[in-house]
Amino acid sequence: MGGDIRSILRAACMKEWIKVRLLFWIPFAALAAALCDVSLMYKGFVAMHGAPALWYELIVKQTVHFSRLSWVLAAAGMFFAALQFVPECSGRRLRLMFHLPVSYRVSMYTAVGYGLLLNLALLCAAVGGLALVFARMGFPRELALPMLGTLPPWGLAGFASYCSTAAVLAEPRPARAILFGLLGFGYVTLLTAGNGYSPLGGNMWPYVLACLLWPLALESAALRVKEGQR
Amino acid sequence: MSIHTPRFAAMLICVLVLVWFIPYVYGRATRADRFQLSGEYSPLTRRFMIWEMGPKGIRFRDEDGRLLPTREAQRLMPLVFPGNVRKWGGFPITLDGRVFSFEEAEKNLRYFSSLTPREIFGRKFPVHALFESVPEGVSLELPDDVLVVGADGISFLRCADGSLNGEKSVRFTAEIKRAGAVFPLRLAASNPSIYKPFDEGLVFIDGNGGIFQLQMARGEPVCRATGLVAPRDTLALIVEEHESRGFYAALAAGAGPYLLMYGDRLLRLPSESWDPRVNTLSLRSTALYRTMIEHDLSGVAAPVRYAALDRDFRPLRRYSALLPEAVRARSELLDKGLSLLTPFVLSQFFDLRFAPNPGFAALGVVCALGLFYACCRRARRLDLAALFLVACTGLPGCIAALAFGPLGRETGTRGT
Repeated sequence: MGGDIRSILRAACMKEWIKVRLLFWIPFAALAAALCDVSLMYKGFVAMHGAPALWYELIVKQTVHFSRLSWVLAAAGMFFAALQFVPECSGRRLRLMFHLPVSYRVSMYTAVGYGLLLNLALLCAAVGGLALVFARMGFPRELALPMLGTLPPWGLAGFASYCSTAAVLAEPRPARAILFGLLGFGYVTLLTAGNGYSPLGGNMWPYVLACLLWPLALESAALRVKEGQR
Repeated sequence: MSIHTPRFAAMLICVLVLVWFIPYVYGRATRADRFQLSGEYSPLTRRFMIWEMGPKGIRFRDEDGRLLPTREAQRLMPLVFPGNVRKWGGFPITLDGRVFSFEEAEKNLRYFSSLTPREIFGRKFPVHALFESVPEGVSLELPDDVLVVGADGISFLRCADGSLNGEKSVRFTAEIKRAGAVFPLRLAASNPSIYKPFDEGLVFIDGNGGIFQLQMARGEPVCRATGLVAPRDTLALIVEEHESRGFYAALAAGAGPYLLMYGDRLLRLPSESWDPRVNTLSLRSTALYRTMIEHDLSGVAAPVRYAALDRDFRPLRRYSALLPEAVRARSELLDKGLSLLTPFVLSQFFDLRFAPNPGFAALGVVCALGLFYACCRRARRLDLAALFLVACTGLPGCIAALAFGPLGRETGTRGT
């Protein structure tokens, strides 16, 4: 039995890999470009105003020069969801998922888990890349850590945008699909609207918990296909 | 009847987003012209002049509410508007038996407004600027390193490459310890502005609560104990130098706002309603008097409190002003509208509160229930579980239930 589940999961993971393997690198490339932009911007700032001016601007004004990363992470969530769920949902193919000999939850949550891992990998790459930029600039740990703390809410926003995009694609009724899109937009805005470094601080955990509801919301959209409801 | 868990999750997300998004959009859509009260004690009338500040400038009223022409009002506050009063031929001026020149009035005019919840509770890094207090020229220059406060000493990191200046770190830490300060420090602050007239260095509270001052004079550390002990519940320390040299730092403590005066005195400002979570306190000093203004950010019904203080910060006169009736009425109307739309308000920092007007929030819930019930009747299906959600969350719940319902898995109950 355990072997069966393992082989089912392996097959489901293989299916997801086949869907994303050709294009999954695009968000990582966009992230690399955004990180290069941050690095070059810091370099230009130092060339124009000197390193002390940059450091004191970061310390006093807490200017977030890397805010474009928030949109890279959110857009990447949409991109990953499109890669995984457009083939799954187009042409009423989603119905097939409910007629397989395995539970639809296995297929669906494997896909969501795969997407979560991709989003997580992108977030880790963003944190690592930005840490490298900060190390290159010589920023002290006391400054770099709060700056890096700005990224996790954006990663969470990426996951919410992933789930909401998947729900938009899975939802059979256009009006409800639009609402899923708006909810995703609202949630992403909520997580990315702060000022300064680590704006949510210790208040992030309720949002992490609330994010756990998003896969269920996706399931509710997919189930309407199974239940034949509009 | 069982609950459809995935749909319930979708509804909860919808409610969560709406209780944030509705107040956010509502606030932006209904934003009125800025209206803020300030004021100043007039040494001529010995009463307060109330300033109504809006997008079109400042309007002046006296304590009786009489609107004064700008010129007449500013002439009653010559030490606060010295430039204009000089142009109108008002200087030199004799006040309280003293003759003031324009230069003296201008030099002593100081506005300090840093005691706000954002300044007090905002994130602060243990990274500070330590300027050369005895600069080569007339202006201060941004130091090319930063001072990092650690658990058992301070260190200096070069901005050029982030490398540690070990020799300077050891020298300055030794000087701090020589002055009797104990690590780890509780609070430290400096003023990183290059536009300040001179530098008072780093002011810090050591592990025992003692207040110290560290400066760099011609590259050498100078640390001195002020002999003062900070209140135990000090929340924030703000350093601000000014040519009038009355005070050079402010302490925000739970017990009250304090000023660190020259001559090593710690002076508690005579605030009668200090609450650092919701109060902003500003202080305008002139050559003759000081005016302390406290705004309560908790609501528009709270009065703005004015206090005129003498040069030794003793209260001379107090006054409270409410926002004009029209401004308060508009704000209350907006609160009612918001409460009608959502019984909960979520801020970005996951601060979930009840709507400002409970009566209208209840009315909003009743309206949402009526709307939901009407929709159920039309669909010939009464969804009791969703009805409960609407009863708890009002219009956001109603939108969620109509969009993502039905919530119950068995949906055969017919409306009457």
